[in-house]
Amino acid sequence: MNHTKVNQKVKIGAVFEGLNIKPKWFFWINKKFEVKNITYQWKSKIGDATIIHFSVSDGTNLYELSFNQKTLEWRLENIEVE
Amino acid sequence: MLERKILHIDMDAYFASVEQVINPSLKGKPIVVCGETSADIGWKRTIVTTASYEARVYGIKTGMSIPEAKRLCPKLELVFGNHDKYIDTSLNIHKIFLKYTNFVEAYSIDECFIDISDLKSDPKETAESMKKEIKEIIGITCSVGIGSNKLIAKLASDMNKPDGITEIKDADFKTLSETLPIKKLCGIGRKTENKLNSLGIYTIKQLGDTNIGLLTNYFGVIGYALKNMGLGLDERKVESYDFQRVIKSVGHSHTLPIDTSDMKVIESYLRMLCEMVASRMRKYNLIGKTVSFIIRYEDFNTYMKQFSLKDYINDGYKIYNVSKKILSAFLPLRKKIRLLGVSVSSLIADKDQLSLFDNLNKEENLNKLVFNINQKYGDFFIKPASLLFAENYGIKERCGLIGRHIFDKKGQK
Repeated sequence: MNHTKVNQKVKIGAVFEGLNIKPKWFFWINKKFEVKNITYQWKSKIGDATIIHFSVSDGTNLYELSFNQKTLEWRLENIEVE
Repeated sequence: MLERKILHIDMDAYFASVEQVINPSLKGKPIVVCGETSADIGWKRTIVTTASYEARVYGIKTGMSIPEAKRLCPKLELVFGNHDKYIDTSLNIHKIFLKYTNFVEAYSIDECFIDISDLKSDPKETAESMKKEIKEIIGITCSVGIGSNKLIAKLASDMNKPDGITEIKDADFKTLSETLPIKKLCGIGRKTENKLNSLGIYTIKQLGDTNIGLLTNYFGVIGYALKNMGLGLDERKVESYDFQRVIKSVGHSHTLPIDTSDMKVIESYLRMLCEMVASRMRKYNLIGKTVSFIIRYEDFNTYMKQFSLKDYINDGYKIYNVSKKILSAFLPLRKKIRLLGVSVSSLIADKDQLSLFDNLNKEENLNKLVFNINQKYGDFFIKPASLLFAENYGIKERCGLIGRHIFDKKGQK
């Protein structure tokens, strides 16, 4: 299992259902990654901004995406490669 | 008096279990959660924080070095811990308990005491229902101990791990205590155990049967507490979830990424710690007048010194100046430093009184402004330039406030 820190802005497609947010796909280095499964979700804080973290899988690898509720910015934080 | 019904909930291999839910490919595998490190530093400066049950089979334990753990299990998977994840998960677990009662006391990040005396349901059924919800919502397991007080409930939760429920009824305690060693009691550490053993006390029952005079002779007032523990007595109540603890000290300590004797790095790191302490004191609206300083050398020899001031402070720069003064007693450094820590105690509430001197008000106003900006945009958004020495040394990431205490978060919710 290889862990890589990415910490880059990504373009993302997400469904907002009431209070739930579900990332569906994201673009990174000119490639589209389909989110097949959200394995976990947690929150953290930077100043007064709440960050929602999603651990998602494209069926092969695991990615950590983050959504800043204040700036509405999505980032790809980490990748776990098998 | 009616027998109280207390639950002690202990999450099973908590950090490792959360990581196995996040990454399903780790399920069933020996994994350990450890501190983050970089390729150049390697695994020398991190230890096992939590081992999964699969890893424990190989004898891997909390506190073990990574090379040692890897020697025991070469196929061991290492996962970098992230306290934000575990704290948020912990708060979500508390929400499950709060559906039953408000008497939920977070004992640590992965342990809670719950007083369900007011509930009409059977304690075992309540425990089962809580366990089921945690499994369904969070995806992890826990072990539950049931007793008439905190001491017995905690003793019980450890008897059937993982994923168990154990009830110790008061009537059964006496028989159980005949065989259980004293170290099973929460509050009896290795030193106390050795001391008690030297008096011929090995089991809980033997502790309960020991003459109080003998115990107070060897342990002072603690002797009374030890006697009660041996008898299974514990009057401590389970605090309600919104109970605010009295904060006695605010401190931070951290291990440097690499041992150093470079004073520029050490002073910069010290300033960083002082700013962190000051920021938390402001968050809690506290001022204090005793500054404690802790230093650990590369050979693990650790020293602590403190200095009491006439005036109360919560300004990072002032705390830094006092700490630097204490540090000067250790100069010139004969060995490299591994860890530094700073804490402030003798705390009182900050009544926010205006100073008669304009310059002091300006300083205080500036401190408040910086604090408010950092509260809004994140810790160290505005920081003293001298912190750059520490950051260039790789300290920022390791010391990036990721492990803030759970009660800080409770207050933010």
